[in-house]
Amino acid sequence: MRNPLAAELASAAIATFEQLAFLPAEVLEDPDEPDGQVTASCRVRFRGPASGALEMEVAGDFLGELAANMLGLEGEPGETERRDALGEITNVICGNVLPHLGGPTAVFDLSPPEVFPHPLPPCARPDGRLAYLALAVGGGRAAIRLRVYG
Amino acid sequence: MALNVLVVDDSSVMRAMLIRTLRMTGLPLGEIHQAAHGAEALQILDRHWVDLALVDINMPVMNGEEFIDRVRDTPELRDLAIIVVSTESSQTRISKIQRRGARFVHKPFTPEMLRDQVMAMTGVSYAQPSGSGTGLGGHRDL
Repeated sequence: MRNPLAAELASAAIATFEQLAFLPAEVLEDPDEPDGQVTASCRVRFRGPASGALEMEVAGDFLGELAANMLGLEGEPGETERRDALGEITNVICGNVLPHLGGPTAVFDLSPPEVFPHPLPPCARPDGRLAYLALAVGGGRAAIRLRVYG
Repeated sequence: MALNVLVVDDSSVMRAMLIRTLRMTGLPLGEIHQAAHGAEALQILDRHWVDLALVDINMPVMNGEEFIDRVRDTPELRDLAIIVVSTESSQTRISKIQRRGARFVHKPFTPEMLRDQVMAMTGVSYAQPSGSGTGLGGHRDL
């Protein structure tokens, strides 16, 4: 992975999936966007020395396993639990990658996660993609983008 | 001593995760209370005896930093053991939290990380979990 920021993003994402949800994750060498297969998405905006957003789109049905593992549920998690789990995972990945953007003392403010049961709505600022990553997670796939504006 | 714990996080998933993780650690737990933000947590502290608060930073209504300030400025509460559990990575903010007498656990965390900070903060020890029957099924390391 030649982009150092993408490598940090990969490290943060894999650690988050594995430690919070006990789901193995690995970087896909084929980084195609999961167009047309996205089942849910999430965006966490941040402001600080740099402003932008961390975005995640997931394909395949692993949100149930994600939520069940995070919550320790025996049964099938509901839609709310799935959405909250995706939001929390995205939030944690975002918080872990920001020091690599602004340095260890930089202070960022994160907005609450916006979760959608479909692909992400178009971003007002679609430019500024600094890093992109595709992960195989559980039985599905996650595409993660870090955008920085200005 | 069984610890009465207050978990303060605006994410219901994270509150549930923290409670589940606490139960996995083998630490002696008493009552467990939940709050979605600092103001709600203060109301709970007004009505219940709590030994330990696990607190997020980024929350609506009253964030974790303000909650800690309010606790430390209240004579009846100022000695409350507080552990901040957050994605916060800024050394500036973490140092400020630590100067207010709170410990810090970074998300993502392992059960051991949380257990060790709780033990260091409260002085309680834990019973070594024995696998099934402790809620440890499917988890590593403990």
